[in-house]
Amino acid sequence: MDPVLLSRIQFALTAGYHWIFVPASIGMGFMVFLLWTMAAITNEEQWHKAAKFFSKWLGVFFVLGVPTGIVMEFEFGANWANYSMFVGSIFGPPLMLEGLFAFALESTFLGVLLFGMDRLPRAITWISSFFVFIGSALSGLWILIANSWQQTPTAYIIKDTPLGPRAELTNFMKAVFNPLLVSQYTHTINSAIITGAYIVAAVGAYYLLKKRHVQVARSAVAIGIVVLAISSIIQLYPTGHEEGRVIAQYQPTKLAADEGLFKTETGAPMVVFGIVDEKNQQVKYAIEIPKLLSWLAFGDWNAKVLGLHDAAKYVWYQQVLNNPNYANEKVKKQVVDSIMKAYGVNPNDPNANEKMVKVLEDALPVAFMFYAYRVMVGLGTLFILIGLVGVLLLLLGKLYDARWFLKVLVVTVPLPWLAGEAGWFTHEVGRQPWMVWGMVTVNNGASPNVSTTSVLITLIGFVVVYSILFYIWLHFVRKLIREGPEPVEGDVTSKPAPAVSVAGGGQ
Amino acid sequence: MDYATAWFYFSAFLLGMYLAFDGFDLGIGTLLAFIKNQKDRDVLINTIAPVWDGNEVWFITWGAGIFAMWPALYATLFSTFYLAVWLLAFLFIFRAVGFEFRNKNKELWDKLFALVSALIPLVIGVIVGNLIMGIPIDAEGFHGSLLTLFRPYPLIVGLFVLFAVLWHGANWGVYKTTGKLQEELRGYAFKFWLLTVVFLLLTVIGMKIWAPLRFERLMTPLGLGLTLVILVAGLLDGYLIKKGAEKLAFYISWLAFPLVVYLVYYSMYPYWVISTTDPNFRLSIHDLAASPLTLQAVLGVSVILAIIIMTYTLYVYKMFGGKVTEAEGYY
Repeated sequence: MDPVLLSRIQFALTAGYHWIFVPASIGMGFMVFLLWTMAAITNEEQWHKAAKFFSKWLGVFFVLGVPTGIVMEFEFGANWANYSMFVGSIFGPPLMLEGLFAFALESTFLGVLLFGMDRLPRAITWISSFFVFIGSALSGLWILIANSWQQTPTAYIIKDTPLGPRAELTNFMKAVFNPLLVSQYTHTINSAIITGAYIVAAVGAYYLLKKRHVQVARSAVAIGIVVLAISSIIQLYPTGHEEGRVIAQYQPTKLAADEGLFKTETGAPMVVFGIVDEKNQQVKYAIEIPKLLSWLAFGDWNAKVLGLHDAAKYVWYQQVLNNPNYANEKVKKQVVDSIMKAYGVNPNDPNANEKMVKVLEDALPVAFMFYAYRVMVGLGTLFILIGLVGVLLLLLGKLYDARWFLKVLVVTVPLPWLAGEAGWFTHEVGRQPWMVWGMVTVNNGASPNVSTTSVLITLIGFVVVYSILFYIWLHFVRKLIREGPEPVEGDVTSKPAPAVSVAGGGQ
Repeated sequence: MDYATAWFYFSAFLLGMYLAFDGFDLGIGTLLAFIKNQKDRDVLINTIAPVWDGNEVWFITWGAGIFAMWPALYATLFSTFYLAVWLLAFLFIFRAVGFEFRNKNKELWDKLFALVSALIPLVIGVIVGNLIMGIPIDAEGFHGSLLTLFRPYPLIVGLFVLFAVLWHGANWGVYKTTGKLQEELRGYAFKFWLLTVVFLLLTVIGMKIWAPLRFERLMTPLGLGLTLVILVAGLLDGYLIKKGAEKLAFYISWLAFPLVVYLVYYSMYPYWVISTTDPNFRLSIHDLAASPLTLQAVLGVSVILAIIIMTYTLYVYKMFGGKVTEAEGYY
């Protein structure tokens, strides 16, 4: 097998795994801060107990978020050495600033929160929960600055240096605020908040169904539902809508694959669902809303939306061959030729450009992206529905007794993760074959001196170690659920479950 | 001073802070293997539980700093020593989860935890030892194998870092505990202090034999002066341990790390990479540096942030100050 493919599988696996813990940490960080704030405002015991209980959850999510993040940082140097050399001058600083700006704050004060909440003054606990959330939100900011720059690169020049051609910064702040940053960041952080709110609501719902820890559980369900309703609407508009508009403008191939749009259309419809037939380049049995895609992407009902082939042509001719950010023609030829050669295209072939358009088209698995995108949007819509129904029940005073609704919350708790992973898959698969849009492909970016055997060893290592870790981690989540929050005075339902009820749970 | 030089010494600061802070919790982790009583081990874990996570941030920042300012160095080292790099990553993963999950089977986890805690400083020392000694590399590329990493001199440096970390960890333990456990740790602090001093001397002597270019820099007035300061402070620490001045003993071992790292960086300046096979092949911190604007844009803000981090970190240590006697974690 090809080491590039194996490295891609390893990256997808480790990034996807990392994203199990990150949204839960950021989202739970937000919820814990809210709960400590509620505790401070009301000074009621059930809020204090809820805040303490979910702080422990935050600790358990954070544990695996950190080391799985270190893995990502190592991977750039180990598996993607040429990529790191080409864009390290731009991609590296945000990673370093993440450590200094955010990560130090987050992990230092998580220690204060978890080990201080029993003995330090409550004001310190409250401010620590604030620092933990701000730290994790800033951490996400720097990582997404690095990620969004690769999708919509800005403020750089490609020069020939003694170390080979590489991208260099021309303006730090402009590179930071590249076109995609704001919408991608808000959309991603908000998805984490949805995840956190969902977990809090579902854990509360579980206890209400079991008639345990009723007072704490009511607080959890109520606050979880309110945050879910608000954040799931924000996820659709403005954040999701804005991100889609930026992608339509800068990454037309990604948009075409997301929408299963093979042919360029004016007044393009939005396909709600259908079956993608890649071979015949069409979407069968499509349920469509006329002209909606044109309006969503460009704010004009009759705008032209590029189909996959035309989009690939646009990317190759406009964004690669006409990229003005090269120091001179010589280095440009060097970079463009190396891209062609990496895909077996001879630069002197008169049909070289057409062949490269085909390469760009073939790099995108349209059916996969079309479905993944619909999973994300469909689940997002479901979250809005669940949030609104929950708020309605809360206002009617029926939330805590609506057992059917509480059951729905518990059963659907994995869905925010599924939506988040589906979103990342459309985002990252959709930039194929580019690691950095228009400059570095996966074939150009891989480490030249790492063998198939080496990558295979680490890939198998990750599968084994990550599976074991996940199993142990689940054990701790179960233990947290069984033990529950500390008892609230006067609440007769505050008691841990008898150990026998969790068969096989172990101690 | 040019920007690449400034970053070089800032990188020394980050590694120095990493070893000073995470050093004692790695040392405590390794010492678990020597402590028989399980309740004592719980106490030791609790002395570091609130702070170990923040301590590891310095390592990540050090690594990311090299990525940002010398991307070519980062990429070459990581892809050349691919399997060794991933070994280190797996050690960090295991350590992080071992901390939180040790309640499941303490006997087994504590042994594994001690092993992992010992391997991390050893591997970091081996990496630094290779940078000091140089590697078989020339314009055509790297001519060695994974075993090249583990030549005698890098192993000496690795053991030096391991013993120093154990000395530092024991000093922390003496500082944070009381009674019988404290006495036990005081004994270890002295033993590992002795081994640290011996291996410091071996590291310096080995430099003369295996890395004459680095040794030359060490023999300049500044290099010699700093070496003497480190030696005197180190020797003083043995006396303080014996005398029972545990607080000062810990402060001195804390300070020893940034000083030693600074000395190592000073001896390497300005060459990140030297070759053991081709005396003319050298890669300096300027050759490998990121673009000029990258070096300029974030230096000021990084220094300010490092100062802020130091401030709130010290505040947090003060918050958790005092002796630890309980054996209970947060869950």
